[in-house]
Amino acid sequence: MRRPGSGQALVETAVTMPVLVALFFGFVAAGVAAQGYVDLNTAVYLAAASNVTAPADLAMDGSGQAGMMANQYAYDTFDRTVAHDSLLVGKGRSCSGDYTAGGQITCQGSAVLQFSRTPLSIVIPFDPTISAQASAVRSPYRSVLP
Amino acid sequence: MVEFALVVGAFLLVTFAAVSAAFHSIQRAMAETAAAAGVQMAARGSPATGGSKADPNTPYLAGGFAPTQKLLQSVMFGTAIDQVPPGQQCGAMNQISDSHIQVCNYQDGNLVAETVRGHPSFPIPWITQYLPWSIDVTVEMHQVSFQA
Repeated sequence: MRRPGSGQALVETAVTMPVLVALFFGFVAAGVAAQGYVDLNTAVYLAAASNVTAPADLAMDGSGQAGMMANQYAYDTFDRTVAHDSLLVGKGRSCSGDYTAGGQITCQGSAVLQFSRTPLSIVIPFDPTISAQASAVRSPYRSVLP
Repeated sequence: MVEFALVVGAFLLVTFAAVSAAFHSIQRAMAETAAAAGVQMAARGSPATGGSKADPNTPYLAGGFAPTQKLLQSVMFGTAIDQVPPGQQCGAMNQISDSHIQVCNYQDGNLVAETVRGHPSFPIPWITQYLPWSIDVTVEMHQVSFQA
């Protein structure tokens, strides 16, 4: 004859275990996502900082296109920094703004956060795209044509 | 009593795991921030130092360590922060001993790179053999150029 309450612990465990496992993977996923955001923010921040160290002259590159050289500085910085990150794959980047001395530019970057390259792919079967933005001001006292 | 012991054990395990993960996240985020601060200094022109003239077109690779070290110190308890000679890359992860972090600045074409790599100490020392968490962060920045 079965005792009253027998098997109750098993049922309780069966109910709580999925919740605990989901919580565990959720915390780990949040940590991985935060790491990805920090890395992308750093890459965009450095890209903006690189952009404003380029010469302010609009036609330094010979093409007459505003900020072409400055943007190349920023894109090189973004691409190389993201390339060092095993979690991120760069998706796009752009900079725009005032390329004259003292002007402010804003850079944006996006990347795919590769959950699929971690064991988290079991519970998160897609790779989200994240983006970041940073601004910087070109010094009015340097990089100006003499 | 048995159930209580199991619940307390599970609670302590989960709490410890959460605190450990949070601590590692803080250390890694700071390493990223510190590397970004250092590489900006390293990408600038070299100032005049004893015996050598200032050169605005040569990256100041030696200057990247100080700002990085200052930022890392605040979260790297009991961890030695080692400066790799400027221009050289850090050693492979398995060549860096426990409780040591290497900081290296080097040129990568027209860009300057800074790497923070190693195995930081953990608040509970013996646990590092079971949690081989390491830090490996590299950032790059275009070398600052100066007009003639």
